[in-house]
Amino acid sequence: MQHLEVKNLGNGKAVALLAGRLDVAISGEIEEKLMEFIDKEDIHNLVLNMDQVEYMSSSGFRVAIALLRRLKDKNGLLKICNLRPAVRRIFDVIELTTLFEIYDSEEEAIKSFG
Amino acid sequence: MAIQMIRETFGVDIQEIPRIKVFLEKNLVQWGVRENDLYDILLACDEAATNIVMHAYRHADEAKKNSDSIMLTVKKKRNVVEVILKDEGESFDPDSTPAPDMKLNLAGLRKGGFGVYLMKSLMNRIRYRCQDGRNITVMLKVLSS
Repeated sequence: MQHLEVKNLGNGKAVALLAGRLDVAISGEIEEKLMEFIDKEDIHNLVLNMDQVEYMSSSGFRVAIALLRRLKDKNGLLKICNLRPAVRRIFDVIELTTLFEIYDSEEEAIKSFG
Repeated sequence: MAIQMIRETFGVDIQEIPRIKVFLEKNLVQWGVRENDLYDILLACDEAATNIVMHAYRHADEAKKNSDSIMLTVKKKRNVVEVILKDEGESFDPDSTPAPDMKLNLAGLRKGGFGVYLMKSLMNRIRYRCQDGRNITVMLKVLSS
């Protein structure tokens, strides 16, 4: 696995597994690939599993916000799960924990779509 | 107590940002900087360097980007780490950047504003000045651990 793997769960639901560092050098490519996946596979509800993300700069946060916007336009939802404590702390600093629905596990996040 | 200091120059390119992080992390760990302090300094420096590449050199041609560099100096004295970034791009004062607005970001009307906000939130002090055609950004972190 490099920085991104996607799993289409059917019925417009999917999981994106992110890994490594999400900084300006890689975020643009991640955003492009995920947007293409969402449009091509007609995804409405997406879980970002960040279990393997060890480091995230503001470029990574911009990707999450862009995804949230795109999914909202499709009347869908974005859920985030498995944040490492260091990354979670930065979400708190930017006060993004109030913007995103954050879950402890991928299973919980998928279940929340209903 | 002696001051510990490192200095390195990096290219004006977003692909240099991970190199800056690796260089900084290796040296800060050797100096005993750990956990949240380490993460905060790495992230603040990442954001400052990203701003240089994305904003100070936004209008620069390839020749200028290729010939210029970002000079990074890091000092540690007792429990204070000082990070200094110098570049010769357009002046870019972090204080002139408005705080991030979530509503505008969500509406797609403004992208970002998070980088400078993070720098200010994670470090104890940020100072910027333009001197002899050089941008100088100085960030201070008082270590907690």
